[in-house]
Amino acid sequence: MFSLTSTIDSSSIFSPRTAELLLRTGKPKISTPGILTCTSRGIVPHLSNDNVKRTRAIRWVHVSFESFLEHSPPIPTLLQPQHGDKPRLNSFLGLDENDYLLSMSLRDPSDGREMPANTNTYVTANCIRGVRRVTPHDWQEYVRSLKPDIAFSLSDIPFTPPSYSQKRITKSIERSALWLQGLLGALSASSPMLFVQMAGGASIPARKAFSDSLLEVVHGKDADAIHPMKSLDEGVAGYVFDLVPLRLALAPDESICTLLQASLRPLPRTKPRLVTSACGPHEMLRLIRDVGVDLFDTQWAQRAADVGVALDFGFPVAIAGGQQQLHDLGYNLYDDKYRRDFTSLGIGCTCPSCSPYSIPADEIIRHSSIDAPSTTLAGAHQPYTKAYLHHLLHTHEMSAHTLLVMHNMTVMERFFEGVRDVIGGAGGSKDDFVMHVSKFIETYAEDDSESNSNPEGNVLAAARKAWREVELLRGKGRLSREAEKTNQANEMLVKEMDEKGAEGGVLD
Amino acid sequence: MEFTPIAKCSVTNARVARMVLAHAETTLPTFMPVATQAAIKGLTAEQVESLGVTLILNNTYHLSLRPGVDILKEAGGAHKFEGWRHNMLTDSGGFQLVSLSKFTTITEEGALFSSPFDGEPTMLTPEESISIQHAIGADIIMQLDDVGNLLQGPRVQEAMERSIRWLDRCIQHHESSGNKDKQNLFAIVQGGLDPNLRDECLDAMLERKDRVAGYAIGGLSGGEEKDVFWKIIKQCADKLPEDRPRYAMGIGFAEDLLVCVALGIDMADCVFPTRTARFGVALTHTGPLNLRLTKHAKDFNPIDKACPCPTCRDGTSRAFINHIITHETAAAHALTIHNIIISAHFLLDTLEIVVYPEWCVNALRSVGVDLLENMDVPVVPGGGAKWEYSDAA
Ligand SMILES: [Zn+2]
Ligand SMILES: [Zn+2]
Repeated sequence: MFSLTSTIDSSSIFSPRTAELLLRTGKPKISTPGILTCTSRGIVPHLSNDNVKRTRAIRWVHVSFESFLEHSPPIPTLLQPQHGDKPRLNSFLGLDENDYLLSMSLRDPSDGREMPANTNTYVTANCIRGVRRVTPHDWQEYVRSLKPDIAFSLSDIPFTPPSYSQKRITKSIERSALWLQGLLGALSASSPMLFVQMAGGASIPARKAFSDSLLEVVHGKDADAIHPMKSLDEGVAGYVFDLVPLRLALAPDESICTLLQASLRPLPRTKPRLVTSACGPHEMLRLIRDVGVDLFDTQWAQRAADVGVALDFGFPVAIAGGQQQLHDLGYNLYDDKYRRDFTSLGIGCTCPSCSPYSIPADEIIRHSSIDAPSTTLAGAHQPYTKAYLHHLLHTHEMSAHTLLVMHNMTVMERFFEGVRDVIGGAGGSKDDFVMHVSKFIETYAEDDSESNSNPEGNVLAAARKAWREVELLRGKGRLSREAEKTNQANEMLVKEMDEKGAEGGVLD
Repeated sequence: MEFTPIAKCSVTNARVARMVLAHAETTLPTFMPVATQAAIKGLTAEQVESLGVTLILNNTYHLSLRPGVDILKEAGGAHKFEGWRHNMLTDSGGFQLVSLSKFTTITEEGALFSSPFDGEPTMLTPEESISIQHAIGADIIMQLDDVGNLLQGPRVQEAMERSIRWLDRCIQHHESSGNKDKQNLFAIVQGGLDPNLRDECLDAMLERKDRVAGYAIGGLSGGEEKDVFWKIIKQCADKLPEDRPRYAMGIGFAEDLLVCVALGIDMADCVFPTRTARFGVALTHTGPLNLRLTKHAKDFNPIDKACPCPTCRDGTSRAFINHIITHETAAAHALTIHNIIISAHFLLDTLEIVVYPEWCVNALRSVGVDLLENMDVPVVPGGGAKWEYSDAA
């Protein structure tokens, strides 16, 4: 359950607050404000599961289901539970249900590509084989079958070109409420907790109307369907705000904070507020300060690892202020200035890249009975250096991203630890937190390049730009590189088959 | 180096030994994964350590280009640079030079090639190769040998003879450098596929035994007939001294490893298990699985139930790997971990292999093992295990 532990201004429903989310005994306890980790096709990019386990910052993993739609029925739903009623999603992903919290949405919240319109009967979703239609009933079945800890309800969030008519917005909030009702009715008490994706687009009245519809007492036949709940909101455990579609729909003079406030104003303040695709710590801090947001996904930090950036910032700000120049949020390790920089990625960082640790000798896999643990190792592990990461990036070694993801996730977790400490700390006042937020904003250059004409202004935008150029230079993006590898693999296998004189045709 | 043979198989020539080097201890036989550019593809050093790997290979040619000798010296050697606490071996750079550089000419002085940076003619001499390997700081370093590019003809003899002369220059340079107590120089037996030339080379290199720490067998794994391959390995292994480690260079197919160990080889390296992982291929005791194939999409079994690697132990299913393999690098990482473990195990649990290629049967007969005796195992004629190569589904 979600228990508020401190609120710095109890007169405001948008006050920054700390809380703990514990689904049941034995599950990891999530402290908020806090983070959830994004996945791609069900895995944390660049990390094999043993490295996921080494990264203690990863405790809540969010899965976008749409990539599984390429098979019908989706493969994970076919998995036979082997031990009683074990959640299928945990088993399929290899993440122990006692160590990880899993949430699941249909769409990838960071994907803002244009999509065919949703209708009364289905939502359109993306998979590698194209667009798929998913009905509210399909979604109920997927959620029931996979048993994530937390499921996002299906909302009608348009990914068609703006601007949306009044009629379209009304449709959207009606559908979203109706589909939520269907999902509530289909799930039993032991089912996943439901988070609702807040509809209403960039329209303040529509957002308010959607929230109101959650609170309305349901009557008649519909009431029977959700009995014993009286309103939809009774069945809702948390509120989700996807920033990507909001940014697309937003008029220049509107602020995201105002829209989130419009949704939350009528609703009980005791439920977690989750934001997807926030663009870095500046935006996250503003959303905590002005809206009281509790949870963020770390898409931004994970993307930074993709483009060779090691994050380095903290909260409250520890570096001396008053400088003319803003500090960068991290290091673009692709830059030649790191060629001979033998310092670690972050002082005091406890991630597996900055504080590599040895697994105990008895856990090392032995290959024979006389494979005795070696006792003569020269000293402890040393942190990986910027120079090493620079080398790995320039030689296109995938280990660079492995090390960076583990580091960046840990920086985010430590950042939120600092946020929690300031909000919940002894003698913490609203002024204190607001002051620290201002200081952070004055100290670090914001990664606001998506809306900024000068992308050189911050190190992340520069890194993303440089990365795109490298990809262009190499004449291919990650996916086409993979495709090329696949072709090479085929050629290699055929060649090896020939060499080995094996039989033709499909083997095995 | 402290090299102590511990046990010898009562039937084959396989042996178990302990090798203590400057950084750590390695139990032999061992399979060495290849960290070409100072990293095993996608993995971290701790991860490799957790797999029980105690000896990895770094490529001298690649490291001398990037990050370069100056950076490695500043970092305090490749171990410190890449965070590897166990043992390391470097090649001489010669083989990579010949295979990757288009304009390599071998002269008595060394290998002349055009610099990949500015196209300037650059010479890799035996002395230079050893100096670079000193800067890298590997526990085992290799002599520069004349690999040539022909397996037959007069060039083979010339290359073999030159390799002996270059060995002397490498020994000379290594001994005068003051690195001899920390780094161990291995000689490389050449001679192509000609048993007489091999014998000549062995004789000459054995004369230098007191000045070399171990012996490698080079010039194989170039697509030669398997029956020729194992006979050369056997000839060399039989003649090499008991008190020196024996290293078969570039050997890494499962059955090759198995046969080499049975013939008395202690060490082998190959990029194959890690490279093939990136193509979606999982090695198993019953042959390779191409997990990109649609037929694995609904297979919820782990790659190999008995495998102790983290991927299999977690129960990661073939279906899940099929879902991510061509899209996400983490799938390759999961398979790389698995393939390294399988390769390491192949060296030791030799009898668990289920399908024997015919040449394996012959090779093992030469050391007193009849794979077919009292056993009902299928024999595949010709070269090797079956490959899944296309997705006709
Ligand atoms: Zn770190
Ligand atoms: Zn395995």
